[in-house]
Amino acid sequence: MRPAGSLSSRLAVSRRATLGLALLGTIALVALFADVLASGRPIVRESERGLEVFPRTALEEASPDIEAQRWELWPYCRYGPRTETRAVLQPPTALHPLGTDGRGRDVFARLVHGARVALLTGLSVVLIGAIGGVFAGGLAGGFGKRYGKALERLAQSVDVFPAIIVVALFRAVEGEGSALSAIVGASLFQWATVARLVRSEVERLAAEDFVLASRALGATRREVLTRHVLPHLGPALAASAALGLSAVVVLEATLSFLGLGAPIASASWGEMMAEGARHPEQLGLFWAPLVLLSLTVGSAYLVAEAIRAVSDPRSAHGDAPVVAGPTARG
Amino acid sequence: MLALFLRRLLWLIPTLFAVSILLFWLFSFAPDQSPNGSLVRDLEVERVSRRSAFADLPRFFNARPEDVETRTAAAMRAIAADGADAEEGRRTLARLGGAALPYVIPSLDSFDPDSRARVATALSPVARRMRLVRADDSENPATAAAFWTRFWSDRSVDFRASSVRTTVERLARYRTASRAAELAQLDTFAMSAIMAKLALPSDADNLAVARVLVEAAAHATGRLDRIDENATLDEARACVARWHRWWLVFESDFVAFTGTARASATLSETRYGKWATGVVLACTIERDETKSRLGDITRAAPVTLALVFGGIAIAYGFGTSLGVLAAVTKRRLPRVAAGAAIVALHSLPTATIAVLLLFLLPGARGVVPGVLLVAVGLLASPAQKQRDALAGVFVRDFVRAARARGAGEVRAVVAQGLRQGLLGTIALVSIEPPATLGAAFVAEQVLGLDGLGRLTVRAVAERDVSFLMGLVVFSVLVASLLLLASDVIQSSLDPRLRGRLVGGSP
Repeated sequence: MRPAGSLSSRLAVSRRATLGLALLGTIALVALFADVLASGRPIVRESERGLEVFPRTALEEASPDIEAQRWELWPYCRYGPRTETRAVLQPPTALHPLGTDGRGRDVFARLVHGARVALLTGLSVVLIGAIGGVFAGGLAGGFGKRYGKALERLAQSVDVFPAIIVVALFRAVEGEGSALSAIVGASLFQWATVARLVRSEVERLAAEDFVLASRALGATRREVLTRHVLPHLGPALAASAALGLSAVVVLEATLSFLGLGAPIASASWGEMMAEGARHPEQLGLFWAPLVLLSLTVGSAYLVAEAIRAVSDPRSAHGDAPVVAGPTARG
Repeated sequence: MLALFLRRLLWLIPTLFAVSILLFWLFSFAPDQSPNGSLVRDLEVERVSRRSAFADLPRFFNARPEDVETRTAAAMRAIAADGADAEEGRRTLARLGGAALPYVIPSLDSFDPDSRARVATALSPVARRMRLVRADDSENPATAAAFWTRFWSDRSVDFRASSVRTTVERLARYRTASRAAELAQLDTFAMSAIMAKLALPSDADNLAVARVLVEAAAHATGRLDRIDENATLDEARACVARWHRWWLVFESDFVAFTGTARASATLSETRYGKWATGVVLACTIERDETKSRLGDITRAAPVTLALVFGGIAIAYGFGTSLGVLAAVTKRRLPRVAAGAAIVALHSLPTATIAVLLLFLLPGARGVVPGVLLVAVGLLASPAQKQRDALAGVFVRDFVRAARARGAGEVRAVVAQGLRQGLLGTIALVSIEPPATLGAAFVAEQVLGLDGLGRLTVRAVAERDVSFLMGLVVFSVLVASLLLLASDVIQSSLDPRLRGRLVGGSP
């Protein structure tokens, strides 16, 4: 059986998957090339030291308006996310495509770099959660009921913790704010969601004919788990990862909105929305993070739904397993 | 069923205990806060600050808890050695006061004459504070040791727990100057009995008792925290609460841990023990104190809980209806529209809805818009769950059989579909409150409500880890009770699920 291949071919004809992946891919590209789109440093510069890529000089970082005397290729926006100018709350201009915020920072620069913060935080949590969850869920599903019950109790215990306050606790301990507290805090919840999903999938797959046949032919539990069960977890894990990504992006935005997330200096959509709420007359500051956050969350949800629909025909409107619990709603 | 329910309820106690220990261990690695922002370090302020934060105590087990006896011995050694720590030793001995006398005076003979004189004169501030006759003799190195030996031979009988309790009782009953002077002669040795007697005043008579006891404690310890003659009942209660908070920190300066007290001190004289005792204190003595953290939580929690539960109720009411409509409709357009609405609602986190609300209704304030805000943010989840659950139920054999026997559409939806679909929804709603706190915090911030969100933000800014841990434990308790309630409801709807209530697994 080749579950991954059949899944990708079915996803290719899904309109939901196409739309979601296109949107998510675009946002990922924006995050990946944030420095090419907006930076206080030139992308390429030819100087006496030769051709430099993203040269690290304090001069450009401090005052990007200065006319360069040598050949340089600048990003679309010549401001970094932290660069503060005297142009406070300016409407969109050629220099500031979406205007500036209350501290004179370029909204476009903060928006594209905010995509990087959001996606990096989300992907880190999803990766940590997937590793922890597959290990714990596989162990619980593949090695007897005792582990399964213990895992269920543990996962149920995790469910009763409020993610937002736990992350706030980490933030208070951390002192100087960074994305680390959100990553650590959210990972504590994400692994349990994945583990529960993996456990139920492993138990379901263990009753399938091909697994029973393999057992009958003398395969050990470990062989069955690694050769036959784990490769089939791909669709469920992918859907869970997509939903997990959307939940963590929302959590990060909520924390930043409340002032509990990444430090003010670093770009975050949540912090931008809080700034936009203070200055609703500044339309770029107001709408841009809102639209981008909604598109990210919506596209991740679409991808998750599409994976769920194509991987389990019942779930088009069916009773497929719940792929992700509510880490935090915000 | 009831026994099993109670058993799971009782399991909550060790679970919460384990949660608090785990959290405490994890967050005890938090770096210490600087006691003040000044560049010039005030060592005394820093010492008090570290003690108030219990920074020098072990986390969970204190094999050698310090008490008045060990502190006195250390101070005497420092004074006798007359080294760099001698001045600190003198200050410590003066602070420990009468509570140190049972350990200092009997051991004077063990020192050489010079050391004995130094230790004895170090007690002269205590003699003045106790208003002893011929207290000047305690300042003279030639007569100080003899002065204290004479004092002890005359008065040692008063330095017994039963005598002190009687003295404190008499002061509380008669409240006369002579009784106060009698208690002053016991100095800090009476602190344990005073604090045991010092209760929150509930009327004018109790207020008078509290005033004289606080006055005696303030005189012995030098703390400038008294109940004025014109103080109101609330002010007096606040003062008493502050004294108990202070006693939590400094009790070991005036009490000797012997016998069972020593065994319990191995646990209570730890950072976790102090934190747990502080929580109990906050729930009892400080519960009405306006500036206490518990008072803050008591005032803020109703707002947040209203937002959370109001939002969930509305969201699940409307969301379930939307899900039913999306599942039962046969026509393509309404079904697509309902699906699109669910995707759109999923894509709008509460923060974005809040910003939109501010844009459309800049003057919106109050709990009701907050509840609606939280509800809109939650709407997608129950709608999707209900739609999927119902769609799954409609293709089941028992629903087809019911329809084949003539059951109408409404009966199929209500009697068969909704009942099965509700199970999943109830399971989802039980884990919703902890996850909804974030949305409630956003609503509070945007609408200017004083809820737990503001306290959380403030606690993070102040790095008040203890408060946040208390908040987590409180939230876990509420969520666990809800989970238990949801299990019971599900079991009553579907008896096959009773096994889960028994074993805690599905």
